[in-house]
Amino acid sequence: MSVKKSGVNFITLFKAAPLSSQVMVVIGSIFTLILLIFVTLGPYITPHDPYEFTKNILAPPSAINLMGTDNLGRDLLSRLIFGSRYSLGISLVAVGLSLFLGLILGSGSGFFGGNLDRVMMLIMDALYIFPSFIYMLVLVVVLGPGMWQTTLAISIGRIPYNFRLIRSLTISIKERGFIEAERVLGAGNWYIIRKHIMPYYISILFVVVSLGMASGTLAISGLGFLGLGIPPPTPEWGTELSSGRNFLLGGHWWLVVFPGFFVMIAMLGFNLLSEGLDTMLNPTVRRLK
Amino acid sequence: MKLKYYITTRLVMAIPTIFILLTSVFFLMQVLPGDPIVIMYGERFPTVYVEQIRHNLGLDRPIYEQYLTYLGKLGRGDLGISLIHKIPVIQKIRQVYPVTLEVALSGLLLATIIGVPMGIIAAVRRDGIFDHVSRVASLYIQSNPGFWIALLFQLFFGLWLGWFPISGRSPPSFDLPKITGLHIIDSILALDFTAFRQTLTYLFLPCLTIGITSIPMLSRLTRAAMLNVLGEDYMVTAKAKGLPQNVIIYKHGMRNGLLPVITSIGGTFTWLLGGTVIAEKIFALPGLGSLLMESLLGRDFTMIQGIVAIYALIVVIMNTLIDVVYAAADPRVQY
Repeated sequence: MSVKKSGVNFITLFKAAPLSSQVMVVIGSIFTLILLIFVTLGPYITPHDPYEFTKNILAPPSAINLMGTDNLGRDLLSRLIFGSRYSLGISLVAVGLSLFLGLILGSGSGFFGGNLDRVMMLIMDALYIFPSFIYMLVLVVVLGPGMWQTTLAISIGRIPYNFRLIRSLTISIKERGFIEAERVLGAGNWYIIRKHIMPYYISILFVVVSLGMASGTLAISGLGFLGLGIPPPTPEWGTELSSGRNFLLGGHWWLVVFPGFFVMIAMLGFNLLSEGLDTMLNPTVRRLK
Repeated sequence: MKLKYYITTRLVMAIPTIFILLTSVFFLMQVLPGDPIVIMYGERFPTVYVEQIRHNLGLDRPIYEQYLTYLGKLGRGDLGISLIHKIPVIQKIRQVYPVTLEVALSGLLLATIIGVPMGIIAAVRRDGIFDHVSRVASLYIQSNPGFWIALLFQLFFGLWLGWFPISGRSPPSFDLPKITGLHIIDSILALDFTAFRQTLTYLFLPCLTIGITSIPMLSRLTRAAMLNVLGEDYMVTAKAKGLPQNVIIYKHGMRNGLLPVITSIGGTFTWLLGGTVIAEKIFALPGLGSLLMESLLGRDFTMIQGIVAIYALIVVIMNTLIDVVYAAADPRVQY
């Protein structure tokens, strides 16, 4: 018996979605694409060398330095473009790692249930009600300064959230009638996971990853802002903002406004993308609402 | 009587939560690099005495023994002595926690006043202009990092317009009897209206920052909760009975829809507590967040443990409170 290939793909979903979601996905994708270009081609497209000192210190935005220069005469725009590698790269790795750990713990806990699930829930609930940013702060200090340590701290801080999400998804799938039906028909675990569970996860994965990227970027720049992220002279956005803040009272507003603007654009892009995709990929949820 | 029993059970149920958090922080602190004795007395302290002090503090005993001692002390409300300030941790925390509470609660209040009605209107007028505008606005505000908003407020309201003070909690000549530690309440109790006004101007920007960044979360949760209720069968029944739209929405819809909102206010509070650390740093407020940062950078082990314990206590109390309010508001909840 041949199984008919599912005719639903991204383009049909996109066409079926309401206009507002279409706009969100398009704008979000454009922002994400621009950031992707910054991350991959960063060093090649910066107008100046991000680490080069010049005598032109604390210069306001001008035709030469579009976003002005900092106290060491470095071009801010170049630094921010180059810094996207750190801010977004760390965020991406942290989100991936955290999702992976959440997937193992959450699906295991949800699938096997019983006492294991009860203990896991108790621990994760405790961590969940604690402000995750404060937990990340403590973790960053414990793990020590550095890029990998920061990444690890953010991903551990996000585990409770991912755990709860994946666990509830797993339980909701487990109790679906069609899984039972497949089992009765003699389908094995692996077949069910491949044909039913994975596609279900994947449609949600896009939303979770883009939402995670937004909060990951917020976390890394927040840590950088508090002086616990990537240490200077690395031009991570939060770190840049933190050092620029010292010049705020002197009226050098661009050192604060532009780094924050980059964080905002990144978060806006990811948020738009996740919001639009959410409506697009889960039409059943849309109909129910 | 019944409610008292319910509150007690809720609090007992919260014990494992606090226990898990404290245990995880205790063991994290063991991994934290740095020697407590060196932090207390500096690098040049004679090594002969170091071992003696280590023994006196019980730091040379096995970790599980230290852990049990720590728990035992904790049970008696003893959080230890700060390595840097050399005073009991609990004393230091008692000085600073009202600052954080004041900012967090006023921010939560602001977010609730704006966010909840916004969510309700958006849900009732679903797919209308207000719904779309508030959705876009929420997404936009949500995308602004709190520290950036705070700095922009400082720049705009403080430096350019000069309307509000940009840092600190009160003017230098400020004098108020310490009753609750919350300046707003203290100044009202003392009937000191100048102090009240001053407190408000100083609180304005931090509160605005915390409030605005929390609005999107609360309004979206409210909207979703209301939409759920509006689709219920009893709403259709009410409509079929020929009740006017206002009665349906405000009598049947709101009372049910606001129940999950009570829960989401608790979640929002937890979330904005993280934001207070950043707001305190930007507005130079001497609260728990500033103390935490100082202790983290100075490796003040006991203080970090103490602060985490207090944060845990605050969120647990808040969550219990929310549960109790929920139970009181919803006659269907059996307690």
